[in-house]
Order: sequence, then structure tokens, then C-alpha cells
Amino acid sequence: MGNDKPRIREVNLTREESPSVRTIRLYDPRTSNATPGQFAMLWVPDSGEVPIAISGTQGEYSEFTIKRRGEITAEIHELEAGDKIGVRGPYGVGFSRPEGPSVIVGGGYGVAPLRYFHQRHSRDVSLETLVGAATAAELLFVDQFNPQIVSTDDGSKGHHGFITEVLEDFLAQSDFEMIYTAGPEPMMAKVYQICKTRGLKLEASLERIMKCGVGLCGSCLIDGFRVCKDGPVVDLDRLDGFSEFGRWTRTSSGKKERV
Amino acid sequence: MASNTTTEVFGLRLENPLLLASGVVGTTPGGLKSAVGAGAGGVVTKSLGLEAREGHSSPNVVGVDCGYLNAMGLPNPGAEYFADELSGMDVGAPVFASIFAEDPDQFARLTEIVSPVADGIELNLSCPHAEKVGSAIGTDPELVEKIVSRVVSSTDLPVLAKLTPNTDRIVDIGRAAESGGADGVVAINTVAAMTIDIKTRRPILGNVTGGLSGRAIHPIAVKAVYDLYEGLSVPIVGVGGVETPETAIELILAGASALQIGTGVATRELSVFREVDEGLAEFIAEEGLELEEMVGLAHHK
Repeated sequence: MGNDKPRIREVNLTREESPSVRTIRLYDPRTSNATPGQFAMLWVPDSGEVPIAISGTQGEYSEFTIKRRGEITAEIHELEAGDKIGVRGPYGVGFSRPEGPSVIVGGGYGVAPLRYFHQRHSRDVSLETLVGAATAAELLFVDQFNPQIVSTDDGSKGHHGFITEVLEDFLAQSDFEMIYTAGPEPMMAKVYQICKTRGLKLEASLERIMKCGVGLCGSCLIDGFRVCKDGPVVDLDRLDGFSEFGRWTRTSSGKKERV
Repeated sequence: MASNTTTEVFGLRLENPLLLASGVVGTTPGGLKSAVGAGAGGVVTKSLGLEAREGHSSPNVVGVDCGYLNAMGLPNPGAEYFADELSGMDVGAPVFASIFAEDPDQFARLTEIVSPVADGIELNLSCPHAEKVGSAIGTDPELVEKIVSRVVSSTDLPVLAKLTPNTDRIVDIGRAAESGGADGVVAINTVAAMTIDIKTRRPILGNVTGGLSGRAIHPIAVKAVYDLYEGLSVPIVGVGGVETPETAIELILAGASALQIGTGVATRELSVFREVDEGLAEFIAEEGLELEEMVGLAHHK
């Protein structure tokens, strides 16, 4: 309740990650203790609020990596060090701690929570990363992930096509048992199918419209499941129970829309 | 499920008297089903209007120390769309369709749309943060009576009027609903409220003002139910800050025949329904009472 009121924080630094993606860093001890995969609601006064995954932490500072998609995210892109922003959270259920060598499959700005996951766990377990994006310029966090394979939709770098097209070959030549994924839902749906076929474990970070972040309003429902509170990270068994995953999302009014 | 909390109200058999309140998780039929799976004895849909609506600009929800403020702005996919998605789906418990409109004719049209897929109708006469609808019309007893009577003559289903606490005339409005033929009243909707961020000096909700829910409004709900029980003879559904068995029992003693839970699904979990039901069952057994006997007991010395 009281914790669900925005805390006003000063932007400590901002960084351009790609032509459409920026990272901001804030001093915020609460979110800096978050589990990778959790998110926060960022509030720009007089503009609005958006759910954003935590993309990394440093001490008591948290980073948020934001794709410019609408008015509110465009306002966040305009922020400079010293500007103020509201933050509440962390919210939701994040990724589990990897128990052994695992594979990260990320697409587009969906790699943001996976970057935090990698930052937290890459010293303890071996993590191989496969990253896709629309273009070479939109490939994110390549320096940190040091990815095994990259792909671009336009062929400007790495495999020309989707990352899932090379995932199967990669898995066939290795003995990983666990995949962590975040990115466009069609990509995650394909990763899910591959995991089903090969008998691998999977955790995926879902994205839906979120308005409250606390499990109240129902905007983020997928088959009656509250993505904001009981997700956004779900495992393969949970995905098995969804009829809407990979097919339908909901608009702001609650109408179904193709993923 | 505790069997001594099974009840019958408005001609409907409920596994327990705890309904999911409107506007909470019930945006899709799947959400309604989840609430029943978690132990709700019945559910109320998100308020449905004639047209799809996206709702207010964000922030839509903000927490305060004593509850939550919201200004969702009645987002909904439209009554026809919702009814279509709900039809043929077994939710597993009685479904009340909540509807909002600007005048009696619109209410009647909505009633015709939702009646084939619902077990009851809840009239939203009480949303505190939308123009021309909700509490904007729900504070005028004459209009309330007209709306209720149009709706009652448009359906065979039980019709409940959800009342606003943002008035000094809640009992008059409840009586007007009763005169119009309502089978029951629901009290209360959220209490008009707002919060301001002191550092930026800006109201936090996108809509500036909203409605307060949760434990802060429980005593307000207790008084509203208590007063309505004195003034009305139709059954009352109590809502406002039910998060524990004790808060539920208090509203029943004040006069509520059934209850709704909203904010409790965020402050507790969806399992709040089962927890409150179990605690209620235990209390009833300990007191050696029937649930129906408990209703309004606080009125008898």
C-alpha cells in the first residue's frame, strides 16, 4: 500500500544503447535489491506511468532500459542527469537462480531484464547468450553478453533472420537443460516450442499492458493469470496452461489483439 | 469449501457469501474464472458500457498507507464484446454483470445485452471518477429509481444497485433503488480521494482525483451497511476493506447478506477468498449460529 506510492528520484546518468533505446540510472535501494525479471512503474509527472524491467543494478543504484514506444517513454528519453522521476516497485515474480549452465535467448529491447540476470549470475554459472534484433544498430548489450550468436532481421549483422532459426542447431551441439528468454512474444512462443520438443526447462518474461502493477486492475491478464503480480516471469508448465500465449494480447480496453 | 457458509441470496445459491468486486481482475472472463478458482462464491464483471473505453491516462493506481487510490476510468471492451467472450464459458459460480450508462434507456439496452450471459445485474451508480456516469447519476434518488425500474422491467435476473458513499443521502438513494424494484443494494463503492506528491507538488493520479479503497474505508462501509439495514428491507451486499474474516464478520453483523472483496486480492492474494471463508466458517461454528442469523445482529441489543 504505502510502498506503492512513487518515490521521487533524481536521474543519476543516462546512456544511449541504440537509436531507439536509452538507459537511465537512479539511486533507489528498493529496486536495486530486486530479483532479475522484476519490474518497476516509472512515473513522469504530468505525463504518465509505464512498467519497465530492471536492467541492472550497481550498489544501491538501479538501471532501467527503455525503448521509445509512445509519449511517456519519449519523455523518459528526454530526461537528463539531475531530472526527477517517480519509481514504485519492484513488482512481480522474477527469474529463478540458474542451477547450472544455461542459455539466454533475447530479442529486441526484451534483453533488458536478461542483462540484469546475466549481471547477477554470470560469475556463478556459465551462461551462453543468443541475441536478436531488427538491425545491427538495435542489438543491445553485446559487450556485456559477449553473445555466442547474434541475428538481425535485415542481415546487417550475424545470422540474417530470427534468432530462433539458429537456436535449434545451437542446442543440438550442446547439452544445456535450461533456457531463460525475453523478447517479442512470437520469438518466445518459438523458443517454448523448441523447449517442448527437446524436453528443456524454460522461463519466459511476458509482456502485457499493465496499469496497476499490484494485481488489482486486470489489464495484464493472460487467460486469467495476472502477469504483473504472478508473473511476468513464468515457467514452461505455466505456459502449457495458457491458450492466449503467442496468439492474443489485450488492448487498453480489454479487447483481444493478435500478438 | 466450508459448508456452513453456503448461502442463498437474490434467488442464487452461493458456495460462500464472498463475491469478487467489480473492477478487480474481472476485465476478462478468464479473470473471473481465476477468482472462482481461488474460492470466490460469485463474481462481478468489470463495469461494462455500450462502447469500448480505454480508461483514464496513467497513473491509474497509487498506494497510500491506508489503502489504494484508483482512477481507472471504466476501461472495458464494450458490453457486447464481453458478453460474446463470456458466452459458453463456465465460470463456475454466479456472475453479476456490472453495467454503467448515462441514462435509463442506455441502462436498459445494456441489460438486454448482458442478461443472456449473466446470473444477475449490478448497476454502477457510484464510480466516483468518470464524467456523466457512476456517482454523477447515482446521487439523484429520482433518477436512480427510474434507472432501476427500467432495468428491472428489462430482465428476469436479480438487479442490484451499487451505491456511492460520496453523499449524505445513501439511505434515500437505497430506498429509491428499492422503490424502483431493486432486489438488493451494494455498498459501498470507493470514497472520492486524491493524493499529491510533495516533492514535485503534482497530483499523482493521471485523472488527478480518484476513489479510495481498502482498509481505510472499512468503517465507512460498516456505517453505510448499518444505516441501509435500518432503512431498507432488501438484502445488502457489503463491500469495503474486507481482507480478513474479522472485517467480513463486522459487515455481516452490520447487515450484509453477502460481501464483495476487491483490494484484498492485491493486499493479500487471490487466496483471500478462501482465507476469509475459512475464518468465517470457524466463527459461525464457534458461535453456534447460521450465517443468515448473523446478518444484522448488531442492530439487536
